[in-house]
Amino acid sequence: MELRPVSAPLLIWILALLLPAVLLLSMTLGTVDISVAEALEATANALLGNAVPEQIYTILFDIRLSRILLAIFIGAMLASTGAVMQGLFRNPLADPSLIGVSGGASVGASVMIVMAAGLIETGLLVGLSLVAMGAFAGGLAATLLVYRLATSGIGTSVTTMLLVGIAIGALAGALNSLLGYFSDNDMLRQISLWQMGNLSGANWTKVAIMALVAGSLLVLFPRDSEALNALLLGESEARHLGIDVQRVKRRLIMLTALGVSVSVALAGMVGFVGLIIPHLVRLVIGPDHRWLIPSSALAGAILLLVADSLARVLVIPAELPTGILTALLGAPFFIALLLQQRRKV
Amino acid sequence: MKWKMVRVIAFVTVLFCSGSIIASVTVRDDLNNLIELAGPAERIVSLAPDITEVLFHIGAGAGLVGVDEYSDYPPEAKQIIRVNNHAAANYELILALQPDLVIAWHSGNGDKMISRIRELGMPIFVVEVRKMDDIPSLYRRFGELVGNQKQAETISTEFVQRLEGLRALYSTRPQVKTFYQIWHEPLITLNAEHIVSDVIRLCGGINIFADAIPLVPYVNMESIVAADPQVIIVGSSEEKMPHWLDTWQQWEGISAVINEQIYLVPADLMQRRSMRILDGAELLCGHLEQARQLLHPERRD
Repeated sequence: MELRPVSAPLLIWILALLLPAVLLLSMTLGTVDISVAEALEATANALLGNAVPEQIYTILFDIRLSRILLAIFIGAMLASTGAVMQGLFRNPLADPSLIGVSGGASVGASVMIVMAAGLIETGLLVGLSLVAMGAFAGGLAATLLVYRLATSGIGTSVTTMLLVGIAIGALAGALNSLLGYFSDNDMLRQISLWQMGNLSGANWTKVAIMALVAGSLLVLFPRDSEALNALLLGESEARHLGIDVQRVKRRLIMLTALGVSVSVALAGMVGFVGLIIPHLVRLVIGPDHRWLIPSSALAGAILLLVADSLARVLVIPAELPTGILTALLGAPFFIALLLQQRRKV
Repeated sequence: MKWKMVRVIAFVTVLFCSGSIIASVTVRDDLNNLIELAGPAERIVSLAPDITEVLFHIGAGAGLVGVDEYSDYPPEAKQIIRVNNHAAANYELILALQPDLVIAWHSGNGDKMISRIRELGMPIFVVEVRKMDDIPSLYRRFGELVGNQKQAETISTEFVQRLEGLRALYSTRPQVKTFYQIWHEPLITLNAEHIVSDVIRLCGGINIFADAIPLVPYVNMESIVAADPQVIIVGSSEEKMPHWLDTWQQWEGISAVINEQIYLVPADLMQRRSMRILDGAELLCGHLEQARQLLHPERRD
């Protein structure tokens, strides 16, 4: 056993304390200057039922807090599904976007936007759920297709799965561009939102949906931690240990499709978090899924929250797409960690 | 007899040469390139809907042999062959149409499309209009290019008169903080560089996102709440109020929401640089005036 600088429980503690700190900091960032003290005071007053100036209340709770929570839930969900996918396929490149889930989901959402444009206009919730359902159907269809093509009598081939995933991703990109070609200006804007990833549309309905999905995933994933650990040894070894490999695979793939599709429907494709966070965490505490999944969830929440907060404030009063910042923040950190590892070896 | 022939030939030659000198057309475009045509353009390709509108206004619609995907005004424009959209142009088709002039919109069509057409050897006239005051010159220069100077001059004079009328009436009135909304999710607006911002200024309004860096900035609700617009103008391609306008009702801290000063203006009237933008400007000035009277009841006249 290699000696690691930070033990797994310690990392979880650090991340769990860091998250509220980042949350509080993010509450004080934005176009309007609100200090930490003011934010704390307003929060205390709001909780005690005392009066809070209306503009401060709207900005802190309706605008900032809902967006912050959405970032936390989406970040946690993406990073934990990334960890699960990488363990399941025993491949460091596995990531929801790489095996076609996000691509399929975005095509599903685009098709819904173009086909049901009229219906989507009729009401916010109906429209949102229609697009979300489209995204889910697309994400699930892509996942099943990839999975079926890669599965034969002797099990699921990871290489085939990744290759088919890349092909599906390319196909999805092409279909999206094609739909963009035939849609009018308004539809085009909606479709481009789904492709770019943007958390600015956060509201409490979206937070509730995402909290429900991320919550269920984070409760259900750890049940398969032991199975994922066994899978690290190889599929046949896991089978000898008494694990129903196909069933575990099916369950985890369905959960991933659900989580990723819903997040695509609510905030578009936010890349990079699912790929890089599990790697980062694994470099620090090792590949034990009992710790890897919850740590990744916390770290993913923090990364997306920091990235989205910067997206909100860097070009005030305008804002940047969140996806640019997740990559800008995550990639250099990741490369630095890899270099450090190499030096150790 | 022989001399007579020579004299006739010389006379005809001189006549012919002077004729071609008179007919040749030289006009400077907005990239500061001098475009020289042998005569008034008769086969024109327009790469943007604004350009198509201006050409129809000055009576050159019949000369249009190709237009972009979005040229839909006047209705006759819809019958013309489509040659490009926001993403690409069909260069083969444009060549096959044998235009004697292609007119492009610099920021809309992009340098790539423009330089490709130039490389293919077609004369291209590039325009870029970001101010209301640039539009009369657009009409006049198009008039020269197609040989309809008279009609173009009449229209541009009329444009200047209407524009100055609006300016004299509204531009010095108390300023109204205006949010111009293009889209709701994400929230998209326009900065000071855009012609819409110029129209807002003309009507005595102030664009709350004039200072944002990109021409078409994505903004967030917090910035809007902080700026507290007194009127919200929605530039929409839809004819009736889009349903998502209801979502404004939840932001009760915004003056425009409290005073119910949220208006729809057809995007085509606001965002196309042609005579029609004055119709949009008149609508916008009217809406801003309504908001102003609520803010300054003493000014009601």
